[in-house]
Amino acid sequence: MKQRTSYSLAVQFLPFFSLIVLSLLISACSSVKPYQRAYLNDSEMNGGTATAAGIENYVQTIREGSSGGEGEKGSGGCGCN
Amino acid sequence: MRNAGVFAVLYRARTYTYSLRLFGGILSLLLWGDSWLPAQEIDSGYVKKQVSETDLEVLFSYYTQDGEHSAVTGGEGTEHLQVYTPDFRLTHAFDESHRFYASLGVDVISSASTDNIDFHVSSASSLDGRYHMSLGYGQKFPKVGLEVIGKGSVSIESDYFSLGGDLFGSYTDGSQTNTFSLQLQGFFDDLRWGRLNPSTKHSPTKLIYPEELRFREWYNLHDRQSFNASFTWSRVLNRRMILNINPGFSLQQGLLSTPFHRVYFEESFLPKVENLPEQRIKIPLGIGLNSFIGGEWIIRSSYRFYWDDFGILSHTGNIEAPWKVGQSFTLTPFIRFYTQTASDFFQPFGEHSPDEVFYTSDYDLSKFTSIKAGLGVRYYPFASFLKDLSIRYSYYHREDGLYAHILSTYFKYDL
Repeated sequence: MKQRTSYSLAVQFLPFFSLIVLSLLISACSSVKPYQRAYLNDSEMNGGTATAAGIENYVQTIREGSSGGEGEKGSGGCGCN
Repeated sequence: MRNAGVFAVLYRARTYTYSLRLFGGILSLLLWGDSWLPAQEIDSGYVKKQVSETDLEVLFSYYTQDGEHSAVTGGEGTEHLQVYTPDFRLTHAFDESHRFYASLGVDVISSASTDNIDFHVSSASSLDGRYHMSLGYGQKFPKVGLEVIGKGSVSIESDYFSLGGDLFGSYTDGSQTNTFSLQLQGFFDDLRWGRLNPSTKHSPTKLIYPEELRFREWYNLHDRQSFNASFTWSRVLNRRMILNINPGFSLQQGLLSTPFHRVYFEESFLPKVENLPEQRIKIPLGIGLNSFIGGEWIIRSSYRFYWDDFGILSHTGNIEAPWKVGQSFTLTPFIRFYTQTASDFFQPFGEHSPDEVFYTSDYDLSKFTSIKAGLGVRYYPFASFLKDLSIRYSYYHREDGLYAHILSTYFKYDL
């Protein structure tokens, strides 16, 4: 029960803090001209997970109770969770 | 006489000058004469075309783990396992807009715990293989910033068969500030054994239960369906920062239990087969921020919140810091923190009440924290047959004692 209470509080306040962080980040946006995209176009700035890390995502999906989100493998397709 | 000599010299100099002028005129005519000629219309037949490109990606991975809470033996026992995974992916671009995708791979699995389904304790670790392939096609619509990719997949192992479909669509606005993408997946799985066995004429026949529990059928179904939806909003914040937001939704139906997992109960020596509900809803929410620091460092950070109706709630924090050492080298240290609550249906070995309807002793569904850390090295030469070479090592440790080593090598060739 104690464990549930602490996580219940986290769940209640998480959306509130998330909205604050998101609004601060998005409000700081500025338009970027095509000739200013040298850093953005770097391959390491790619938002997805590197192909070489594919098996790590697969292992995490199997060995942990959660899946999906932020480029990780979804459910199904194998004898895993 | 003197005057005659002077006049002779002057005459010769004038003649020599005229010769030089004549030679220069002829030379300039040869070099630049075409500019003096009237313009001509020439039909060369030149047509601008995109040269087709083919990329081949080869991924070799090695995974080994060990622990003390095997679900095959009710939550107590070795979890020693080794997996070798060669994987090949081909991408062929016909032109700027049309692409073909194909992949083929096999997971070779050596598992000590799988031995204990039939209690062959003294034998070598059981060997199994999962074979998988996929085919896909994608098309871009550059004028409207759209891209659509469709894929079909199939995977098979001794006691699992899966057919899958994947549809991906993305839109990028004209200023390339916002990119919205949606991925829909569906998997239709069959958990029966027999497709790789000649004795059954490669037909699925039965679910594999633990040896001592095969006196009855524990489930009245043998298939599983999984549906995943993942949405991504990627936004450029400034010249050095990209924000990603990833909400998702998953629905699983059918046989979600693993037929060969044992569960032991209080005051009872005879175990039962694991029993979980026939439906599960999962909701992940991820947020990521990629930043280019200075001229050499990139920080890729992400956080994921997860909830499902099995009672699991988790938090994941991940940081990768690629360091561009040289023009073609990158070193990437990374670290990942994870914590989850236990499923409502989990209890350790021998602690389930006989009155429970749903029960499991699979420690993947227990309460734990885990950490993963490692290092990646990447080499990407310019103007070479080999476009990318990466080697990545990571160490994974779970609070209940499970640990794993993961080594991956990745090659990308321009054929």
